[in-house]
Amino acid sequence: MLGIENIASYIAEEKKSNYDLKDKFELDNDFIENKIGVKQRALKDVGLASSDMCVRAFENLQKKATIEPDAIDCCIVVTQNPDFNIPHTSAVVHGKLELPTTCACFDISLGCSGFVYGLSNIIAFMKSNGMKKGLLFTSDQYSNIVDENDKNTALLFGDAATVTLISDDATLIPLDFSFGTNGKDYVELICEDKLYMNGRAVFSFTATTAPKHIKALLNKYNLTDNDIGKYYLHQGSKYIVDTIRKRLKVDEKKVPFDMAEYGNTISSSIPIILEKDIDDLPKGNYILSAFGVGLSWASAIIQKS
Amino acid sequence: MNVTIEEIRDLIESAESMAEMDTLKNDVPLTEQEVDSLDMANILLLLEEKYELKIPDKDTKLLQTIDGIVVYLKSK
Repeated sequence: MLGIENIASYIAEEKKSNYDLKDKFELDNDFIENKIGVKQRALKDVGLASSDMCVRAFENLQKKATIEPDAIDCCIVVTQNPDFNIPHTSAVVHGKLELPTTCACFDISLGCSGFVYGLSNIIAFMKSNGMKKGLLFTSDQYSNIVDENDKNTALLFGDAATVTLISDDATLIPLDFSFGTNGKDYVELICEDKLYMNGRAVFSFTATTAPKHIKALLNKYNLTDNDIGKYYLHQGSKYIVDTIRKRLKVDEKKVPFDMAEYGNTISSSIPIILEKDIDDLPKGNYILSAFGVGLSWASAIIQKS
Repeated sequence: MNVTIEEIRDLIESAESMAEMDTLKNDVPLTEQEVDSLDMANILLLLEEKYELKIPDKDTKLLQTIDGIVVYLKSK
């Protein structure tokens, strides 16, 4: 059955400390560590494009798994910071990785919910077309679009990419997905020239939508918290992860928080944590849930068998 | 709408900010009493949920103190 065989990531090497912004934004350590939850942000080298970060993630995947590029049937890139408006970044990645001409490529334009959407898309696409191996990339570089004088966004985001290998030799298999959109509020998180975020609106949307969405998915399968090993939530900020956890009434140990050293990496945040856990997860059910620009949200139950 | 100072103080306490409830003043802006911007967003959401109303962004300047919150809610 198709599912996640392996995951690798690339987090930009250069880090910028949020402690250096304490005076500029009148912050204290508690706000940095326990509210935003980001001590430092990962910043890519100038000139490094989304496709380049995908290639670096793929090189890291090759270090721990044998990947024959000729065996790749499809390549999907989730990004809202493409190399170009035209062509799609997945075609650029295809060229750089020298994937076969039989390989299908397309992009998915989504932000924070993108990995969960992408996982559903690639598995459904591969199933319906009889494909055996696929690559799902996530790659975003908000350092290109963040206004460094905007306290709402300047402290949050880090540059990263991930690649998830999808195959029949899967470790994690999705049981079900659920999706949602509130397009009426798209203006609350938008990039025209620079990124704008209405922090209050995005917080309210996430705190109210994500817990209900996760509970509805659990109820659909008569699952309770006791049936769930961990909840992999999009790492929007520590405050939002904590808020969702408290509203779900879930033990802190079951909700990983892992963005302190690199920031909110958009659609890469969930696969970055999954990569760290994938080899050690016991059998059972796990929740993925992500939410953000759109406004868009997506949750999934995945199973380790 | 019927609302009391005690209800609002209880709601603020439930938001788990760094504010000291024993010394929290009703007539001083919350953001000057260890309630940060994220706590304020949470408090506004809790108010919306408890009192089943929508607080527009333009009204938030009226809800900076506990007294202001009570006056605002009583007007609804």
